[in-house]
Amino acid sequence: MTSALYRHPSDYAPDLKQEYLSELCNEILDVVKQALMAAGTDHDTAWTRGTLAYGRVQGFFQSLQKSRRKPWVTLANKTMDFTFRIGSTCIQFVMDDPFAPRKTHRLKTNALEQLQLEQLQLALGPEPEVAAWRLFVDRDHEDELPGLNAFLVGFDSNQSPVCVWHHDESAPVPVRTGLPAATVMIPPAPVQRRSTPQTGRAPKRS
Amino acid sequence: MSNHPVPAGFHHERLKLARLAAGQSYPDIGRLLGVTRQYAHRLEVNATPSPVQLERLAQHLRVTEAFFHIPRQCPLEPEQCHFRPLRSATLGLKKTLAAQVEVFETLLQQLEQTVAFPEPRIPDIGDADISSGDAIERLAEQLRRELELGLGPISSMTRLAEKAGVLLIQLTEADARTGSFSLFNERPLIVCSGTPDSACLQRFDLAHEIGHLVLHQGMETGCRQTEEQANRFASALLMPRSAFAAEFPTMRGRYLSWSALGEMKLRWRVSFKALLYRAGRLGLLTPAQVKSGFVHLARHGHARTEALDERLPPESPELVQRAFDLLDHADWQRLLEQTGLTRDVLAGRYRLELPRPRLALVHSA
Repeated sequence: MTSALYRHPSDYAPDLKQEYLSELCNEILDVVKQALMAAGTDHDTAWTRGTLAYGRVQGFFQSLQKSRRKPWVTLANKTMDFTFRIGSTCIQFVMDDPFAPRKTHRLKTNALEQLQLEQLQLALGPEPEVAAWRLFVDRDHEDELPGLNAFLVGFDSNQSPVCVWHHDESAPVPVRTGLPAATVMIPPAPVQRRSTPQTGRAPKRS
Repeated sequence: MSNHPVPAGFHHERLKLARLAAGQSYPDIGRLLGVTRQYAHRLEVNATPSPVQLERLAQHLRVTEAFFHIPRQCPLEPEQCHFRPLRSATLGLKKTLAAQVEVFETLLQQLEQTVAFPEPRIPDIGDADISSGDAIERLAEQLRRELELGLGPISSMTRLAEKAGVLLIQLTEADARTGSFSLFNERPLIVCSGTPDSACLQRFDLAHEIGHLVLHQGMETGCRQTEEQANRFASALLMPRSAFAAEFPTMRGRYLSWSALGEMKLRWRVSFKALLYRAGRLGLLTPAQVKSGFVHLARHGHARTEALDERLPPESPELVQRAFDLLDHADWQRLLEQTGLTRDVLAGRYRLELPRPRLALVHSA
């Protein structure tokens, strides 16, 4: 889902199709969730949780690369700031809050992205609107509701977000009713004795 | 170790069931009987306990000896239950809870010969596509329609579940470690976790379990997607989109109107977090606004319990206890004999209030 304020990522990079993003985010969120579950012992810390989740996502891309299960995803480099590509668009994975990122160093372009940017500029001329794509997975510390969200954010060369895509599907809201709906009062469910031919007892209600 | 003549109709599987329900391991049984754990295991396969051992086992596992002579009908495996994916819910604990529910189902079978519960009204969705949020919204709306609930806030989620023919039971060992869980065998059941932090959490839990019963019959759950689907269903059931969107307060510039949200919380009986989550899912708030709302709640110490929670009293299951209250003394005696259970187990493990005998033996001086 892209907020009304932003255009869809495919408007900036045609490779970033909705179906690719949804499919990939679903799998990444599963990997992160399993990692967080595995790192949920009393002896785990924020560091072990964070590094396990990040490492598992890196491992996910490595196995994806090996299996070629999704030919449209490739791993561009295997370093700690690993970069993957959807089509030819480079993206880095970050575990952080996309709206108030603490790991601001992760917004800087790495050597690979820099090279790609330069090549694009040589080929197309002006600087592209999005200089870096980051796939954020953010964790809400909530017990009641699902805690993981995935966002794809496109940053310009000043590290300002120009495109925000949220992996979620908002449901359409039908025509709004005018008056507030009345509270639904539910009486206790009926339960009664069965009248059996043997006993001939009349049903007793409660 | 010598083998004794088989007690008439002794069922090894029932010993296993009683052991699991009591949360006991083979070494525990071995220590109890003064035998090896290997022999304790064999007792559940092909070895037969002596009358003395059988008596000791029955006493320790809080059943009568008759319990071991009733065939095990429909074994319940933990994967048939919709457990929350909580790390604290170990496989051992899940096996114990599944065994306790299986025992309770045998009790219900006997009870239903005397008492008629409402017919289950959980819609059968077949192979309907539930991958989209819109499909789940429609299923929640369908359930409201079938139960003739309208679109307003639900006064009692417990009664709603019971109206839909879902029996709510309480197990002492189902607590924060496991959360609530549900299953659908003979009839839909929800096992409520013991002490909820707030009525809002409890209501959302129930709606979540109803979501599993509607969406995931015959499916193994516990992964991120099935949990998210159940949460989405819970939100849609508690807060139908059209009524919710009409009432959701508009933002004051960049700020959420917490006083208006407070009124909404009291009216809809859901947490602030559930309100924000729902507004986000319906596109009434942007992800950033939802996030800032969550951060605000966390900063103000409202992570588990929130402001205004004290004004919403918790709900309690009613139907099962009311059904047991319909039984007279003779029914109770028959029920206990037919199931091989003890009063102690019914009161302690299943939190049932048993009738006190009206007559008592009086010893004259």
